[in-house]
Parts: sequence; structure tokens; C-alpha cells
Amino acid sequence: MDDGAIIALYFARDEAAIRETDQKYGRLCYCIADNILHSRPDSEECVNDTYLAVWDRIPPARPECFSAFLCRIARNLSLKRYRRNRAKRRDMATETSFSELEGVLADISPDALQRLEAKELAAAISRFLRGISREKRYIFLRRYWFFDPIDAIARRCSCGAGRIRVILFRLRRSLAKFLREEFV
Amino acid sequence: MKEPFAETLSQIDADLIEEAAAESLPVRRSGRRALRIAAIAAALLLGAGLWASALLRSCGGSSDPENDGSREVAEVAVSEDGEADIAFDGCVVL
Repeated sequence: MDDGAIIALYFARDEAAIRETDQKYGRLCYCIADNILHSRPDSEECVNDTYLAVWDRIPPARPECFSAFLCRIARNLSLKRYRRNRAKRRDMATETSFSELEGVLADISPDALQRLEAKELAAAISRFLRGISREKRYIFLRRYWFFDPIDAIARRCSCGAGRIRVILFRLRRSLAKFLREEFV
Repeated sequence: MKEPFAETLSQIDADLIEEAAAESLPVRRSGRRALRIAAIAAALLLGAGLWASALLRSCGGSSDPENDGSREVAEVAVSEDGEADIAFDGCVVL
């Protein structure tokens, strides 16, 4: 079923919408949640919360990119739960990904960072991503948006993990330079 | 900006997320993989060549450049007085 038809089911308040969403995007949502939480029950609960959130938001929302809309909700809910769980136990895989990412902002002064709106920063990152090759964009997003392990990205790209690490290192450096030029 | 960077990243443009969410992406093959495929193809060709050569030899042919691969065929006939009459009659190219 195409995304337009699924959205129409949400508008008709037909519960088949959730079944169809699960059939088409359930695995993707679960992967996002599991990459962040590394726990089957937590990830399953997050996926269910995602469906509930989508049910609450459509209507009135009519997303243009349904998969992105869904992934974004799954990611935000998983991050929220991760932050909540972190007080109890830290997950090194997710922490590594976080610290790599936070390092990008290290060069921007705290004052400039305080003034900066999250939306402004997200727009700048989108501009940066549009300026790089498709393959690099894919690697960056799979790592920092979908939190895929480096080995999994290497398998998808048919190359070694070392190459992916080098590409990510260079991308983080270029992004830090790009943001410094934009906001300092 | 109060939000952590990981959460901020959630707000990037939807089309970029959609592109990366696609299960299969046509990425170019790395040099190492192409090299591996070429090595396997070369090994298969070599194996096929050796097998063909062995087959030729077992049929009486030869890979010797001085031997053109033909074999003389003798026609054997027994005459009325019981003596064998052997006549070489041309050759067959294998």
C-alpha cells in the first residue's frame, strides 16, 4: 500500500492504518529504536508508542514524507527513553555515537551556541548534507541519524569498517568547519 | 540552543531522512571487491583450461605444439588366408 493510501486510512480513523504502517515500516522503526536502546522490550514499546503518536498527529498533520515523519517520531521517542534509562545504565555503543556527534560543536563558542536555535542549526546541517556526495550523506545519516553500527554501514556499502571510520572522521571535521564558518 | 545535538539532528529536512531510510542504495563497488571478483573469474578460467587440456590428452590429443592433434587410424582387414592386412588410411582430426 502506498503512503498516500495509509495516510487516507488515518484520516478516516480506520485502525487498519496502524496495521499497514506496521507492515510497511515496522522493521525500520524497530531498527531505529533498537540501534539506540539495544533492548528488545524497550524497542518494541517505542515502536508501539510511535504508532500511537502518529495516530494522534494524523489528522490534522498530512506529512509529505510519511517514512521520514514516522522515523523522526520513532527516533525522538527512543532518544527520550534512552536519556531516561541512562541514569540507570549507560550503553557504550550509543554513547560513542553521541560523543562523536557532540564533538562537532566543540569549536563553536558557548555564547553563539546559546543564541542558536535548534531549527537554525538543523537547517545548516541540511545545507551541509546537500553539499556532499550521496554516498557520504548516506554514511553520515546512517551513523548519526539511524545510529547504525559501523560494521552494518560497511556491509551495506560493501567496504571495510576502517574506510567508514575514515569517511566519518573527515565528515565530522568538515561539518565542524562548515558550522564554524556559518555561526562564528 | 538547549537541546542536545542528537535531538537537533532529528529536525533536518525530511527528504534527506527518506533518502537514507531507503533499504537499498546503489553504492559503487569498492576496488577490493572488484579485485576479488576478478581473481575468482581468473581462477575459474584457469581451472576450465586445465580441465580441457586434460580431456584433450585423455582422448589422444596433445597440447604439444609439434603435434597437430591428429591421429592416424589403421584399417584392419583379415584376408581369406587368415593374414591380417593392415592399411593406414588417412587421419582423423580430433
